[in-house]
Amino acid sequence: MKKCNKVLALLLTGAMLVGSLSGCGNQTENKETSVSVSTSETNKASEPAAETPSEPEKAAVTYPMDTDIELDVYLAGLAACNSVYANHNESYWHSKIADQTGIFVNFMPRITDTAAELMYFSNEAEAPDILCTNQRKIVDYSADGIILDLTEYLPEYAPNYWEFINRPENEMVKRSVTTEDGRYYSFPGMRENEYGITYMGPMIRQDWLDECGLKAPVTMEDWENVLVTFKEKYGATLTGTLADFKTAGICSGTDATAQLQASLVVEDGKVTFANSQEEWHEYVDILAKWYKMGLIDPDFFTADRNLIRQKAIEGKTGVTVSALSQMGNLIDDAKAENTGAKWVGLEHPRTAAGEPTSMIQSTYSIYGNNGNLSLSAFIDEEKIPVALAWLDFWFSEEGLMYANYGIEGETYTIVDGQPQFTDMVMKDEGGISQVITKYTGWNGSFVGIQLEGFLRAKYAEMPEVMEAVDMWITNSEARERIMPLVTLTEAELADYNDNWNAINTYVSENAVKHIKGDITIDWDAFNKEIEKMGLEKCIAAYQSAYDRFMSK
Amino acid sequence: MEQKKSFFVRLKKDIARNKWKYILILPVVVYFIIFHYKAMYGLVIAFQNYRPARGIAGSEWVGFYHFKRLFSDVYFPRSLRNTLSISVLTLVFSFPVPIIFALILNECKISWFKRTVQTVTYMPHFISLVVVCGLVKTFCSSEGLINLILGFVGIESKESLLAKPELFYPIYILSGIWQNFGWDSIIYLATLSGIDVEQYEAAKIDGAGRLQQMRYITLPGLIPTASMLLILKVGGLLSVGYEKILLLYNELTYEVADVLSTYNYRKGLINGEYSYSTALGLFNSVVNIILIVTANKLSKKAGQSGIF
Repeated sequence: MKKCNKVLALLLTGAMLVGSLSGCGNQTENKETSVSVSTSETNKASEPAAETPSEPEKAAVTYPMDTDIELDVYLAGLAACNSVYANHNESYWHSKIADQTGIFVNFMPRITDTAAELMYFSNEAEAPDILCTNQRKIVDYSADGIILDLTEYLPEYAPNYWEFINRPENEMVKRSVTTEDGRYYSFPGMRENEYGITYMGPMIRQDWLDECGLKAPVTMEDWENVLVTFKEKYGATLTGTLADFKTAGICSGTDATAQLQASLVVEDGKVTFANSQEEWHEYVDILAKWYKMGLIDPDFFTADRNLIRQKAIEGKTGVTVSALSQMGNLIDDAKAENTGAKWVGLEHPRTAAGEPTSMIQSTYSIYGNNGNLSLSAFIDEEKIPVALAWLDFWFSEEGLMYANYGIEGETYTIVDGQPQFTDMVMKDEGGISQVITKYTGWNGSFVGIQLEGFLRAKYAEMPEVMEAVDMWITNSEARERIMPLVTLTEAELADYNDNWNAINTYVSENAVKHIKGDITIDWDAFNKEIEKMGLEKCIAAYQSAYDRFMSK
Repeated sequence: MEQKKSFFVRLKKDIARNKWKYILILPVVVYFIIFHYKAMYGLVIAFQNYRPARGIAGSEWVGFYHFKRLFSDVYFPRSLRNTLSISVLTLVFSFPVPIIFALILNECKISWFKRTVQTVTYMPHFISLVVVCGLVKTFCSSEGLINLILGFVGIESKESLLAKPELFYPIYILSGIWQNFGWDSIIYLATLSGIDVEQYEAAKIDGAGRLQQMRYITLPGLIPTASMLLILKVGGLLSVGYEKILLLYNELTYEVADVLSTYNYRKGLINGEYSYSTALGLFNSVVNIILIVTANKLSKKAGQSGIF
């Protein structure tokens, strides 16, 4: 009996140890949240090319290349180990890259701690050959001597990319990838056009609109009318999460340029504080009025997206502003619960019918989430041409297709001139949002250029989603006012950081309280208070950064 | 000179006599020296503009710049006030609860009932904070459980409770009590079960009633443990865990809920501000040390044993 107990005790302890070790699990991915780049500033979409790059004139390299050189590549984006594949060898797409390019690549495991990652990059002996960066990091890393200056090498060794970046329509992209003195340090991961960068906007129940005999609302008066009708007939309200209303609300209805947080915009070359403009005050006043009329959900201030889904199922809301993923969820829920709800996208409101909307949700065309790829400054000289050829591949015709769609015949086929994913991809059990990382170059950011076609193919089974995006993208005039992806110097950054959080807290806190009716803002006092908080310093910092950016 | 010599001589003698005890504790001491004391050197980055690529040696020295930034921020007074309010209120209201609960449960003579109640009450401790906050948010929504119950009692409330600043502290503290009182009471119950049964018998013979027994035997038995735990909790006064606040707060409750850690969390989002957050952490630690030493001294003065 005693021996039995001892053995049992040992077994249980062993089981406990094994159990605790298995805690090193995988990170689950949430695609939409990882796509949203910066949330505190208004975003500007660069205007990249809409066509794929043409064939390189001097075909310096044909793929697959004939080389023995191996590269160590560190891609970030989502965790390297995600829920769909344990390591890059199991990923269909990653394992076939060598076939396509002729260059064998070791994908290095991801390091989640930024400080540790930086140590890794700075370590001369161990740094990978190709590493990932973003706008901010390019400035820091180049100053610290961690990444290689590519300017001399690009024309000869990366002809596709060189040709692409020098096209006149890619002016803004070029400005975003070069440093102050015009030197190149990275290959960006980017979206082809607005389709990739617009992913949030209003959505409405079409079936209710039909029942009430209403047309889709255009101006703020229309919106009020629709909301009043929905309230009378269904007891439903306008709802959403505060987080969503900070990145994408309906401020375009009054021609305002800020949502429910502080932001800097550019008006005729001058950096302006969007929240001291009359239009924004009007926007907040209208929301306050609607709240008083009972048209806005009292849970608006504390809800999260799951609560919104619940309310949608229960028919407590007919209008909301959120992201594509939420829209997909609402559509799925309506089907699953048989509510008969028909959720469709709705255009951003505007001051009058026919007028262009002033402010749209969009982020930068270049992925901020470590989507840029640079060469380590410690790379072997002989590896440089090969590494650049690998990076240039993604800007070549074949590379573009491979990154976006995979292998023709296996992961995609051309149907009516448009690539469509095959069943292998669409019917994979993991669900299209997850498995897309296994078959294409999408991993939270993108290797090279993400084409519009990629999105269309991905959402082939949810046409309402693409229609919604169509509605949410509007004019390029509005884009002119959005701050481009400038980089601040350390001094400017210090000035900005000291004051901006206080200003942002003040703005969002007071705006929300005003909407709820807890306080009534005296807008003049509001403006004065913000001036006292050091607004000028923030504006000055961004103004000089902007001027530098535009004169590059 | 004389005393120093004598100390080392004493130490040597002690080691010779209790060799194995010293060897047993040696790994622990080494661990603390390496991971805590040596790591304290890293605090120096609070006085620099630390850049990981340049390392500590290569980063620029800026003295008290970050502390000035911290103290001169417009919202610093408010976030400090909120931090202290939340800590002190949590301490005042949630400290007695496990003690009272332990006292009551201790009186219970039915063994199986006592054990069941204990198990059930300390289960919430194991629920993840995120889950608990999810529950709280759902219950506090405009059509959630709490409003429903209030409706039954006749109070009409159509508001989301977490949107009301005056309710933030009660919600925060009560949910904390619910989650932790069972677990915290374990140590008190353990102490209580260690009190000599003979004392109770002697008291009964002397004619003491239940309440008097509690006052003269049970409570004095608990006080050493309680005061030790109190001192430790006081040492954590400035470190309000930001996870729970982050999950429960929103713009409407900023004025009571925005604490030092959440405010500076938002500040640091823009740039990886290693130096600034280290400065904040250093400030927290210094205040906490002052508090804990004071509390310890007070405890000793009050006749109890302190921690050190």
